[in-house]
Amino acid sequence: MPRRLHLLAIFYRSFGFYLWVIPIASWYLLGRPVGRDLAVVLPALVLFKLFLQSITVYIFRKRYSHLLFFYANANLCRRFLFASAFVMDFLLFFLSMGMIQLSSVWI
Amino acid sequence: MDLMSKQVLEADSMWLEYEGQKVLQNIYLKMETGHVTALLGRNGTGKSSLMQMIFGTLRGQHQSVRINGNYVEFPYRQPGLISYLPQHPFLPSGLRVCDVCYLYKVDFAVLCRHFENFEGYEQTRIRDLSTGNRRLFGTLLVLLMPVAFTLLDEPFAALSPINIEQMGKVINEEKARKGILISDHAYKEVLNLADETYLIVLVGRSILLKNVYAELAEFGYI
Repeated sequence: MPRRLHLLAIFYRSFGFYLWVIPIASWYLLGRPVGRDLAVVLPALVLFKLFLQSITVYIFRKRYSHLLFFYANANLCRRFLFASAFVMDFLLFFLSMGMIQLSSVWI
Repeated sequence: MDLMSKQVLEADSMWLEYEGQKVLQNIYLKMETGHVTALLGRNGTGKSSLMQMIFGTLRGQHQSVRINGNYVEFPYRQPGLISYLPQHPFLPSGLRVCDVCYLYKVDFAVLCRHFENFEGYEQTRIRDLSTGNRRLFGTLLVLLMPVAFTLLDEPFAALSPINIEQMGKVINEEKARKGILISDHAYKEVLNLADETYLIVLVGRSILLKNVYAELAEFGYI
């Protein structure tokens, strides 16, 4: 299991930074809305993330599909990799928003 | 290897078309542990596609891969069953040699026993290896993985003659534990290692060769 998690982390790391930083920066530019304000913009942010994830899949399949053999040799299929990475991506996104908000309250 | 642990992989009815053009038609290929099987064919005859279909990452119009007579839909998803060396670089460049060995369950010391020049590279990142060493490392990893079958697509590409010779020794040693399928245009080296040889001819069919060199000439491969 740790081996599997390690592989997933490597896979997410290969594109995760952009998926994480662009929506977080967008949220920040929108004035870091929270509570009811966040509920208003959240659908748009989620859709934006889904759009970025679709682009990621497209680029990966077009340009880096040979790298998927690295994971296939470790028994991981493409669908599992992308699904896990995108779930991880959403968790990181919400966690980051929470952390940024909390840190701004404390500071 | 005793008969009890002997495993047989059969790829049957492998059928692949790209945009209406038939690449592979009704291919049959058999591998068994303890044997090296050669897969030859001219450029564009579908050797790599066939390997990927056996591995399970490429789906054709029809395919059947059986292990000891049991159908396996996606062989690569079965732990300990199969490994595949693709033609193109497949290792993430940012990883260290030791990390890749850990992830593939390959003992770095064993790898160095075969190729001593890798000693000292344990902490090196893949991107810092030379092109030849990267290919050599990738081939060794796939070959040394603890699996029953290994598919090697052009394992001798980018290797120097001395490394090709040493790689042949590793393949011969590893075949005691597994079944190995090799496809490479360095056909003399491949045939030196092979117990059986299949040729894919231009119409997309596989032929098990008996009189290898004569039939290779007859079908226009050499």
